[in-house]
Amino acid sequence: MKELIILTINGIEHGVLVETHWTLLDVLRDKIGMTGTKKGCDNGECGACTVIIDGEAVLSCLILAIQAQGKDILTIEGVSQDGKPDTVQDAFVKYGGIQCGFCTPGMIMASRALLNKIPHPSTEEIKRGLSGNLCRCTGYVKIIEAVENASTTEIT
Amino acid sequence: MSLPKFEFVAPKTVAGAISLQKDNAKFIAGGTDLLVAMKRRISSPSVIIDLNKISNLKRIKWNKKDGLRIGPLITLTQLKENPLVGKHLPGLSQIVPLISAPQLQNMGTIGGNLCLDARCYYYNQPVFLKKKREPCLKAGGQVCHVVKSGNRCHAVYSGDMAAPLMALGTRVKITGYSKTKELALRKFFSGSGIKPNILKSDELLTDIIVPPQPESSGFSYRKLRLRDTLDFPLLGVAVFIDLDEKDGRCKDFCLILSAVGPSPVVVEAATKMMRGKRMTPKLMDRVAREAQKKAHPVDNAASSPGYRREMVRVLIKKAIREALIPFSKV
Repeated sequence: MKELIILTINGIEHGVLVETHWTLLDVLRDKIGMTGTKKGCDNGECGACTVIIDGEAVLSCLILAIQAQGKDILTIEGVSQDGKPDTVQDAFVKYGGIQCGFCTPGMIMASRALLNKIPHPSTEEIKRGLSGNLCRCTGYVKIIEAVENASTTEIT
Repeated sequence: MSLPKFEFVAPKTVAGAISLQKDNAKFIAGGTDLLVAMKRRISSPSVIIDLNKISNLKRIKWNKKDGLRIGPLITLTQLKENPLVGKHLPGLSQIVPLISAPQLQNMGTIGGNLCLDARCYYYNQPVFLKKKREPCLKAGGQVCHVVKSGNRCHAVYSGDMAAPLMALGTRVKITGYSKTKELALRKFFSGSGIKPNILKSDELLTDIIVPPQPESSGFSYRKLRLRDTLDFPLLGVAVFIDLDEKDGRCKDFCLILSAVGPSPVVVEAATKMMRGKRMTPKLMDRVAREAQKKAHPVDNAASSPGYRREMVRVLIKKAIREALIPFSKV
């Protein structure tokens, strides 16, 4: 039986009819139509589905949509402000931290959560912060450079 | 893979959660282990009882007598960032970065980590890959597909928190339908890969109590894994040392091995060998060799049993040296 829940995504409340066994990832992509969050392994190993809930980067493939009620969900669609890309997004473009782009939303959300906690992380801290995100184009060097650059250009 | 269907309830009290427990219902904390098992159809509970609305299970308290009382629903990140833990047991917060990746640290809980199901390369495959073989012991069958002719389940307890918490003398509180009990964490594990802990289906782990540590003590947890992140331990070694500051002799010593069998292993012989002695490289080597006898890894994890067994000695010596660091400054 479906249940009506309210999800607060990027500051906007969405009423959605969900089955209890639907993950937040599936609801975001298939019911709300926000396909920016990617489905990679769907098993908690690749980080492609990373979203930020109440300030912490989490995996939307391992959270039930019903559990995300009443929480503040930030997805890749909500990272830019007034149509202007976030500093992390800018840095990814500028430093070529993108190849095929599939891991990028997850990488950006994990980087955003990291920089919110540690505004000026060391290279080691960036590597740790992104260690739950896989890029199969092997583009880690440029991604790390991008996050380093975003951390220095950001006014905190 | 989508999740199988289930009924979902989110009670607000421990008593409520326990009373909702019925056949084939499962408690969910962080969900990082259970939901993966469900997607692979290894577990198919009819009811999911969400513990996240129970605020009583999300507290960390400190008092001088009992030490730290940690609610099982505390996430690993909260454990790392909590000021009380940082002040009284900094060694515990330093373990968190060794567990998985940031996203899973933000979701996974300390209680969930202790209650983690045992893992095995064969058993943890999706069900459709196992269809052609008869069910293994852990799946309710009569055979083990890892150790041929084996008559017991060799699935490995792969949590990271148990060994270090055991070395620190942790106790746990278990709340059941009619009574509660408190016991040493080392008694919490059953020794069986089929079900690695002693919790009955209508019982909940409701408190993790870490006693205050003597000032003259050192502590370390070392973990073997293929990558520097995300992996389950292929071997874990926790060491606790209490030294007499005057003569440098060992007052107390505790060595725990994990991920080498269905339960973490307390190496009692090591405590006996170390007590009253000074730490010398020779003694450390003897202790490491003795402990190695207790490790029986089998071929059900990402690296060979021989390698994991060999690394027992190496990691023990590293862990002892790390635990001795606070004393080198004196």
